[in-house]
Amino acid sequence: MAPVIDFLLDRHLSPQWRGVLAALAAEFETQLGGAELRELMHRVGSRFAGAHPLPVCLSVVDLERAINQRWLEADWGYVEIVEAPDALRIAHFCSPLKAFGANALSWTPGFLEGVYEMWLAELGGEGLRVEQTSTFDEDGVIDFRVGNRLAQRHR
Amino acid sequence: MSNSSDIEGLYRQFGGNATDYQEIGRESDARTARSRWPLLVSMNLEQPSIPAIGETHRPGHAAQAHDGPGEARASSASSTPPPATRSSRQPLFALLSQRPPSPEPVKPVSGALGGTRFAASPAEPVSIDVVPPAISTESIAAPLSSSVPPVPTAPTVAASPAPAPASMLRKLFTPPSPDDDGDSRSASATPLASVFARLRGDASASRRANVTASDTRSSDDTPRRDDPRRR
Repeated sequence: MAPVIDFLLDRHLSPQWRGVLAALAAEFETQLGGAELRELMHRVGSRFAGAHPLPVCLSVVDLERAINQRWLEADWGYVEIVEAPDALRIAHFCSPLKAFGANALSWTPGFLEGVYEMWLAELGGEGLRVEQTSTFDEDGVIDFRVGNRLAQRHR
Repeated sequence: MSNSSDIEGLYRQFGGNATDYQEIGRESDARTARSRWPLLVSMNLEQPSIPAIGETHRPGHAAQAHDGPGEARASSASSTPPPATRSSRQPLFALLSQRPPSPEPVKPVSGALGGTRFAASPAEPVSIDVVPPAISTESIAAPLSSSVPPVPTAPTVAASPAPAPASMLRKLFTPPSPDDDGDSRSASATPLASVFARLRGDASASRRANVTASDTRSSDDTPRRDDPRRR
């Protein structure tokens, strides 16, 4: 990751939770496997989305705006939503997932998968799957794909 | 017993003029003070002559009172400067305003570190709204589009989107603006329900949907880092 961005994102992490979450993730990794951890984070994300529902959205623009408002309130970065013929792509910028530690980035994005899936389901997108399609790249971005079929997961 | 009365007493006893007395030690201290604290030089520390006891103190006239030096000094020992004298003498810090203007602050040299480090080139004007440690909520708030009906319950965000960013820092702190060019603006006003139906594979809904195909990614669904929309 570019040093400047890496520095800024690192400073973005709450010092109160950085060490605690990293220790939590490390302990979880000793108890659960990768798939179970991802499922756990997915459920956590669903719970979070249920506690922070989106308002009524009529269009993709509304959806992006509403999602960004929720992330702004939680200081969890922001998203760009791109429409594709067979999918909806969500690029999430500047999420503080690194607070769980760099090693946990293989399963902690499951949280965002659960959040987006629940939000979309509540807006009428039941049955749609949200899957991570890229790693936490050098720009601090994670890509997700919303579709009706499984895409290749990228851990 | 005050110092002045001691001096006068000595002069009365041995003869001489008490006004000729000079406190050398004090003068030396004064010179030292002036050299250590140059600001004192600009201050008007002179006191007007103190009128003798019993004189009428009127504004503007107190400075004109001119008793004998010895009597003035004697009277000063026990009397306090009347308030009227403050108006007759120059304000203590008046000379400060008469000082020459301070030199202009040194302007940063072009290219030096600091605020100019991230200044945009003329060809790519950008502005970074940074509020350390926390980011200004207005700078990263979701942009509003005047052409799109507002979300019923979403709080209003007073954001002023900036032009299309060029640097990664700009990208970090400014979400995409609806005023960006067509290639960069991805989310459209497509009804969400039709999008969902299309994604679920509802063929009839797909035909009715007014989808704007703005995705330029490859068909293998693998995102590329050089994607132009990834700015």
